[in-house]
Amino acid sequence: MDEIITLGIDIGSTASKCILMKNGKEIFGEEVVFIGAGTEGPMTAFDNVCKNAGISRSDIAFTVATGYGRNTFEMADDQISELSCHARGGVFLFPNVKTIIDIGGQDAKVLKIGSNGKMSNFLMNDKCAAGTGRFLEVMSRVLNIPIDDFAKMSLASSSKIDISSTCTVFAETEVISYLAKAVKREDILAAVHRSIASRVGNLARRAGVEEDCVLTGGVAHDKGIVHALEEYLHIPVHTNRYCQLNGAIGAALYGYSLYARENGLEVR
Amino acid sequence: MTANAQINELTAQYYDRAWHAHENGELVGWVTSNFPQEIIQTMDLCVVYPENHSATLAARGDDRQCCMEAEAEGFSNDICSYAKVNFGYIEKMDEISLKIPLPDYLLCCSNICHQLMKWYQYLARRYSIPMILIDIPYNTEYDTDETRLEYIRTQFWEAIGELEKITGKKFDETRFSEVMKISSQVGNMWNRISDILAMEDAPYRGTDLFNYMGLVVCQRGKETTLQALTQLYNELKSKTPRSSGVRKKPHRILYEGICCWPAMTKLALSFSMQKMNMVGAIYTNAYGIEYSTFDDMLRAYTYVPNAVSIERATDMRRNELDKKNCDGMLIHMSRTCKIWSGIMYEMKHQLETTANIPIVTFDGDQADGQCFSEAQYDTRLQGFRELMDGMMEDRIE
Repeated sequence: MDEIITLGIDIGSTASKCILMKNGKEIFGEEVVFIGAGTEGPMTAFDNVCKNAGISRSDIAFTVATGYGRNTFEMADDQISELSCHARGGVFLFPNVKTIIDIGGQDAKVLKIGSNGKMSNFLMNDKCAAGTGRFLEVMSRVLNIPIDDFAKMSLASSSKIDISSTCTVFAETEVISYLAKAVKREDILAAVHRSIASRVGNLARRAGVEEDCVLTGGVAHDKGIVHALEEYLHIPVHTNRYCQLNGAIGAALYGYSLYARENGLEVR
Repeated sequence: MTANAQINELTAQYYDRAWHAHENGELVGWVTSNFPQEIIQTMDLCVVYPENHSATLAARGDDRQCCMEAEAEGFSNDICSYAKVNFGYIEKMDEISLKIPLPDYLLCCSNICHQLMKWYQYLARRYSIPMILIDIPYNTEYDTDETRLEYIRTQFWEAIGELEKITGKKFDETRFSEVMKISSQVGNMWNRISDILAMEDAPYRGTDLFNYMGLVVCQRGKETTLQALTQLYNELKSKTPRSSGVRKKPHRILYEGICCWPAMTKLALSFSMQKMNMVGAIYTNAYGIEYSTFDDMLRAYTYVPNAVSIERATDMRRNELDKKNCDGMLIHMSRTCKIWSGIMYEMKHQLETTANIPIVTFDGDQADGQCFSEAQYDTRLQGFRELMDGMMEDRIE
């Protein structure tokens, strides 16, 4: 086989993400299934990405699992923490990255990248849903607005209000009270975004935020968050269409390195 | 008899004495973990340590029932979980298998934290029993000055006078000198046991220190403790290095903060799985108290690692990192121990500026397992190991 195909799978709390790579360089398959650890999501994502790329399981040289479900995915040859995988994926997508902010379904993390292109430090949120994707899901339900519409509405906000509660449940109460006062939903959404940005931004500041700064995770598709983070940190925050697949990309890259090491290959 | 068998026997005898105290005409005292135990040993008092008991209940999985009971009684879930478990225990002691007898008097020293005072005041009021307090406020000085020492010295002798009245036992100064000497020797032996871990190939798992520490907490001033620890030291020194013949040496880590007792087995297993050895723990070091004079002893009780000036506290950690040649530092942010966890953000920041090693935190609690998330811990620990792997590879390259 001329090409070494590796698969990275990131099994999170709310979604299962797969990436196929050739020779640790070229992405040629991707899949996101919106159910995560403990469901059939990981296997569905795995099968779909192979099917769509026209390959069989036996074509895959090495599979690395990451994310909260990494330890229980039977198709994996190895597992690596999502911290290292997000760092590796981030450097692949943004070679000059120094700070990666990842907002996942149930946690938020900030990764510092050293001059050698490797993770040099990380910080994670404490045991609390504030500043995570779950917070946005709760707000989506309360406001009855699909998450996909958040950015457009939030960026149309004309009046600044604040959500002061750190706790997701209390923040929900605040949002309900704003709705009861007929505050515009655009303004409430912008406040929700600022709330997350301040929470995650503080984590980044504690870690020592440096440019280039990148936002990954499914939440990065929400331009309202990106805008709020840029305002809070006073630096540009970069994203990429693969932001949600960043961990899986890192896993696929590790898969290539591990396969090369096991087989005595020179990394091309 | 092996050192472990000796330690188990001493522990059994210790609790046996407490359970038969009244039959033998003795009173039972409850005492805080860093109360000057020299007083207790000199007067041969019968005491038990509720903090130690709460830790043991948490390690056995009884923490949840006790915490829920305490909260139902009206205590905030934010208070120290050692206290919470204790409050739950006294409410439900019939349902808890590992018991300690209830107190006739209380000995409280505030050198490790001030919530202890409220905990013990509650007990004093509930059981209408006397409480003796030695107040050692948070030490904001790097070196304890004479004013602070005089404040403690005065209380020390007052406490002895009160105890003589309560227990009917006498304080003998000659015996006091002997106890001080033994206590310091025990502190020295404890430090020597810990320092074995400084060896390149540590011959034992550092998490074992958590198992041994009950003896130095509860029986530090006894000849029998010195004998058991001396034997333990000799046994450990003669053991084959754990990583002997292993190609990849385990990462050497310093553990900071109180033990996360509800997940203690999990911690030990996960260190092993992630190829780490805990070669030092600031928590266990707290009982390696060495001194030569009376004033030195008092001073030692003002240098508790979680209640000293940030400068001295940071130097304690820096010295331990250097001495044990650590590859990383793992910090337990104990949710209900505000006094210890509160200083960690700044201390971590200060250590990171000088120590070129990863320093990672995880959330948990000393005795309330509801504050510990296994999946979140696993991710942090694995990320911590991967950071150390990366740094090791860089050093080799």
